[in-house]
Amino acid sequence: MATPKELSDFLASVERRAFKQTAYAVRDDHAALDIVQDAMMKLADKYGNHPANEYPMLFQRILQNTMRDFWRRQKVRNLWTTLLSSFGASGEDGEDRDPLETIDVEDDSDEPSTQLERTQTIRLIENALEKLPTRQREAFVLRYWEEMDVAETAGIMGCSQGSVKTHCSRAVRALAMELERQGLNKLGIFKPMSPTASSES
Amino acid sequence: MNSQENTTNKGLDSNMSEVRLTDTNLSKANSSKDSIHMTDERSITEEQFARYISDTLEERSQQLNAYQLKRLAQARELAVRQLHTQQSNSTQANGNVLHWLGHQMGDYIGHHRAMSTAMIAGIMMVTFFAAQQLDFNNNLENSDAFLLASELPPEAFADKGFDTWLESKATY
Repeated sequence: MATPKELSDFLASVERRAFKQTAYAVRDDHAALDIVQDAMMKLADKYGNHPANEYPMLFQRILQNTMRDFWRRQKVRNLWTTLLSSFGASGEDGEDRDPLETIDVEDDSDEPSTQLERTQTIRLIENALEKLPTRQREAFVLRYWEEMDVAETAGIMGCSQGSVKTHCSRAVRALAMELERQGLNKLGIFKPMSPTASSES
Repeated sequence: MNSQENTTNKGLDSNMSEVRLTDTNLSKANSSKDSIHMTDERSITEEQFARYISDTLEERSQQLNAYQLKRLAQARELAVRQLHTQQSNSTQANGNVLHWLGHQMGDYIGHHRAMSTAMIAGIMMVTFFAAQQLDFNNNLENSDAFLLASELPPEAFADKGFDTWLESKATY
């Protein structure tokens, strides 16, 4: 049985990744925060007494299911909105927020030009990831970002190990093509190797 | 989690990945249209490319703004408090053996649904047959008592013509 401290440590270690993964999937930061909170509560409520080593798998499964619930609700809501609304409310909720709080933290250790390049690269990668089909993104995130093995990924996604490999492979290929299409090679990441670099590497 | 992969891949820092990717002619890879695997020594594999992307995403995930960090911390605190409450309630309940047994059974049923359904169905069937058997024995005892207490001899009830005779007598 896990202790509250173990749960806290586990959640602290995964919360940022979980949030970003959810944000890429639902493309809404506020919804992503709600989904992560829901997943954390479900983990504590239903599986809190399980051993701490089971948490990663359980949490990922709960997170994926909570995302699916969100999409289902969203589908229904969109249907009703389409049917009923011509007076759709605007996105702002009127809540006063400190603008400093929502400014992304940037690493200022590099040169400004390198930093800009890096930020642009990250943006392009994020955009490419958001464009992936849901299952491919799920497989890619679990397999490579969460570093789960094929069997664990298959268990969470509820599909065969072969499907996971196919999804991952397609995701990587799609990402590579999309990044090249968006001109990532211009940022110096995919440029051809020079002879000196070859000897160094 | 694949520990071997962890040691090999987690060890790669983002700079290393970038060097490898800089050494790559990705357009050459894409021209094959089939895979980004290349035979060239300098090429990156699918795995390395995926690692580069995930390293970049990991780096990005560490750059959340204050509001997002605050919300995540609040969510974590709520979850931990929930577990704490649950565990303290469970400790109190453990004083009562029956409650504890009920809790354990509830947990078992919750996690082994098919098995529990089969078990419940089995118990119901056994109970049904036992009740029927008991009922049959009861009836047997009652009929024995009836035969012994009756004015008629037991043979009269076994005689097939007795009922007909009795009915014809009753009509007179």
